[in-house]
Amino acid sequence: MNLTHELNTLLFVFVTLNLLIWPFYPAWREWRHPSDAAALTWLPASKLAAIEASNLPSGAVPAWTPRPSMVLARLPNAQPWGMRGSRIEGDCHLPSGSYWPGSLVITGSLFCGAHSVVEGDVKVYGDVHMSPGSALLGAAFASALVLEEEASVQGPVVVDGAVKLGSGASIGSPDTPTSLRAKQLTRSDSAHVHGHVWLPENRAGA
Amino acid sequence: MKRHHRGPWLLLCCLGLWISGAHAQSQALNLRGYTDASGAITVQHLGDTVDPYFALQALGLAQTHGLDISSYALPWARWVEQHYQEAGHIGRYCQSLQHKAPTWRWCKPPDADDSTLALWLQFLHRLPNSVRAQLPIDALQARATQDLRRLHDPDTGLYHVSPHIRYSLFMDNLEVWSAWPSSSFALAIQSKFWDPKLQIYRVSTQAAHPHPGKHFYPDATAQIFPLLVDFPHVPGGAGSHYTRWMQMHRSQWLAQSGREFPWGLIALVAWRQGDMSSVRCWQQRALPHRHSALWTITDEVVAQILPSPPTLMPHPQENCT
Repeated sequence: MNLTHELNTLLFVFVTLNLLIWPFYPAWREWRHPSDAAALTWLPASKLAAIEASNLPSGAVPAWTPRPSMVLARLPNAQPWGMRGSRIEGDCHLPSGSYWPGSLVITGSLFCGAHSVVEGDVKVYGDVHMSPGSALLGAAFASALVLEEEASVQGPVVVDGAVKLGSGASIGSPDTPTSLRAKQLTRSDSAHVHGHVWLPENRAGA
Repeated sequence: MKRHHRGPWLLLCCLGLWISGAHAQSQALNLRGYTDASGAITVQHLGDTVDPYFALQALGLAQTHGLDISSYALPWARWVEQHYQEAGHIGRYCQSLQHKAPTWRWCKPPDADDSTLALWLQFLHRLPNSVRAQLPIDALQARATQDLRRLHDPDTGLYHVSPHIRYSLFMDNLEVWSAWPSSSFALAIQSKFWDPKLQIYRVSTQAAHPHPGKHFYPDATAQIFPLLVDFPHVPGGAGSHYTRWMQMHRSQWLAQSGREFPWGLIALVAWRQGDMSSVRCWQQRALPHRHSALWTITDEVVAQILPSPPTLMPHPQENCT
């Protein structure tokens, strides 16, 4: 009888503890491995400073073409790469007013003509230079990044060197904030970044 | 004796008549590599995208400059009709393989409803009666007219880009005017886009767009577009406007080939202005890139409209820089 009573007590405690602890399991899992939609904090980040988006002006991402854009079927020296992607040895120049419907891997530098659009992501071993009004609708990984006036990158952006944002240029958008990581950021007063910006301390300037 | 002398002369006369008859027929447009069995016309050579705007622009240029488009007109019209009816809207189409056969499916919305609808109406209007009889022409014209009228802004007298893009573009409105010419519309275009202080045309009615812009595209190209459609209100007249444009932008335009699209439309304007030197320079620079990734169907049609270069080298005294 005592044994039965002890077993019942043990069972009661076990069930009670499970009912109390298990509802907190999703929160514990999220705390250990965050997966929500907000920009993530890189860890460790001992030498980087986080600049919250609230410190930078916000605005809408301009997206317009002055003429019908030319959807490109191919690019010079391009080889198929993955799904709807292309790899280019050397530099790549997207003509003004063109639309590239995929991603790019470029061993040289990428130059996007005025009001050109890249629909996917770009991985560029060299620099990315985006002319006025050009747009990159995905992520950018490059050595350096220059956005002339009204150019935009949806993000995220990871750059080994410097990022320069011209008048009206933008990274991310109010509806889809993103993250930018670079060694240095220079921007016009009217340039916008939406999301997290990670820079070495004291390397942000206008 | 007289019979023997008459024979060669008769032969020569017949030969002369035959030659003159051959020249009287229009040269046929050749779009090999830009079309397929369904009637679709692609933007690039062996391309996988159809944007009706560019095909309509190219066919329109061919028609107005005397090229025979009869091989392509009806299949293309039927192709657009089918896709317009299916979606209720003209879009942009990508090639896909279905049951191992290439098909065209809607993959992107258009980014110029105003121009596309205007060029479509112009194309339908210019079709010969024999082709029009094979299409539900009244229904097609009525539908396109209705859709284009929805883009009209009664406050400005201009046309918006699309139902969702509620501002107006200069080059688009010129194309709409070329399809629907009216003096009031022309005056609206001139008053809304011409900047009398800077003596240039605005590219867009958007206040946020930088004006004046400093770039070849779209800022410089917009300035010569009125000459393409014979817009009547160009200040100073077409000739002086053209001369001024070439003084400012000729070298930049000719340098486009190889890295940018070659802007064959400007070569066409040059030809119509009698500037054969610029035409020859463009041919020398642009034709080596024919059918490449930097060549469009519009450039192809322009290349076929222009007189063939005797050689690809310009005259020794010409300066193509």
